[in-house]
Amino acid sequence: MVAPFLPSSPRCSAPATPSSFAELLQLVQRGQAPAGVRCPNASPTNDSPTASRLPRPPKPWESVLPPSHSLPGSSGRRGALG
Amino acid sequence: MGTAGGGGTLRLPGLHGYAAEFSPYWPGRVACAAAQYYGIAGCGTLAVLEQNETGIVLLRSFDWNDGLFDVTWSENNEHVLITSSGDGSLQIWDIAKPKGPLQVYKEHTQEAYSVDWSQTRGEQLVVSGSWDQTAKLWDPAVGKSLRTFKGHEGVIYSTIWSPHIPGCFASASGDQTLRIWDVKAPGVRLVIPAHQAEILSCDWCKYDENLLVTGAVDCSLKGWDLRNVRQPVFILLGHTYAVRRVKFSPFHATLLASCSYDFTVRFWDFSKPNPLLETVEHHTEFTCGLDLSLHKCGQVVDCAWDELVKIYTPSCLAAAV
Repeated sequence: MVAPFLPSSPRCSAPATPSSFAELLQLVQRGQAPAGVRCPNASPTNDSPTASRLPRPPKPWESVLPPSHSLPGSSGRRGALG
Repeated sequence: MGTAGGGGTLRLPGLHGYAAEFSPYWPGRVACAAAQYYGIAGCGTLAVLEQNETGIVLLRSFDWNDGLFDVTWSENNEHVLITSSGDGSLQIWDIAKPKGPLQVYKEHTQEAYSVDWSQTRGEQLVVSGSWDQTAKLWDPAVGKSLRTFKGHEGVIYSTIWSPHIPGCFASASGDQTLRIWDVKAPGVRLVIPAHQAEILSCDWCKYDENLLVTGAVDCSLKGWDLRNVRQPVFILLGHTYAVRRVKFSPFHATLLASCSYDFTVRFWDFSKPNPLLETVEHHTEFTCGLDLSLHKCGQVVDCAWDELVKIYTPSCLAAAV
């Protein structure tokens, strides 16, 4: 997008460091990359996750609720969606 | 500053913080999703931090090609995390491996703004929410979504699983509604016109399975009882700009925390006549990430666009616990 009322953009190719959010937006809208932009070119390694060794700690609310409360199909739940 | 020690500050140079989440396994370990240039230009970084006696140390950081907006820890593997990105993709990371991501799941056609791993025992489900107006259900071991939830008429900012009702999640949207979904049922279960403004965040009470809270651009927090959604059960006023994220306490039924574009983090007890307990002003930019520790009662992490991640215990929680 070209913003006709903006002062003409600097001709030099050195990336600018925007001093404000609005200046950054103008820069990006002009198709320019601000200074310091990193392009890691990351892609999936397709590796498997490291095997888990820890048991899942109970949540604080699990220790005070009756165990049946969080089980699927538990009876006596008063929830509107139960 | 209103903090009672037991924390620290870490600066992530050149990165604007979007989300911070405590590990469900390791006390003091935090994942932070961040973006260069507010997510408008450049890459994203997942930073894994740990708090020790001297402060906060950076354990690991991973870069992605676009800004990272949200992060969730696995509930069945202490090493695994999922982030959501400005390019619409989800990334699966393993903090025990120096290089990542392990997998990238790309289905959303616009910014993936939220991701959440179910805390309900026995199910390993992930939900993501996007600016493409859909939420998607994932089995993290499968590279394809299990289901797409359509219905919102605006961007989705937040998707959070119920901690009690299996297969049930809530979504908050720019269409001014909070919606409740059941992965086993077709369509939406409940549509709650919760605010007359964009809703940026929602969360479930950990001690009342029918209670949710929403935070919106109208600066308010509202509580909703799913059994009667005609009126909010509470309204919390005090923020002076949009509420960006809200979380119920893992330890207290009536306590919650919110962060805002007004740079503050506020702590509330909705059961009290004067519900605002404390206002923490230690950021100088939009404060977007917020979480409460599952291990250390009262400990909080937040992050902001001022590059700072802070772990602390606010005075009101140090006294109350």
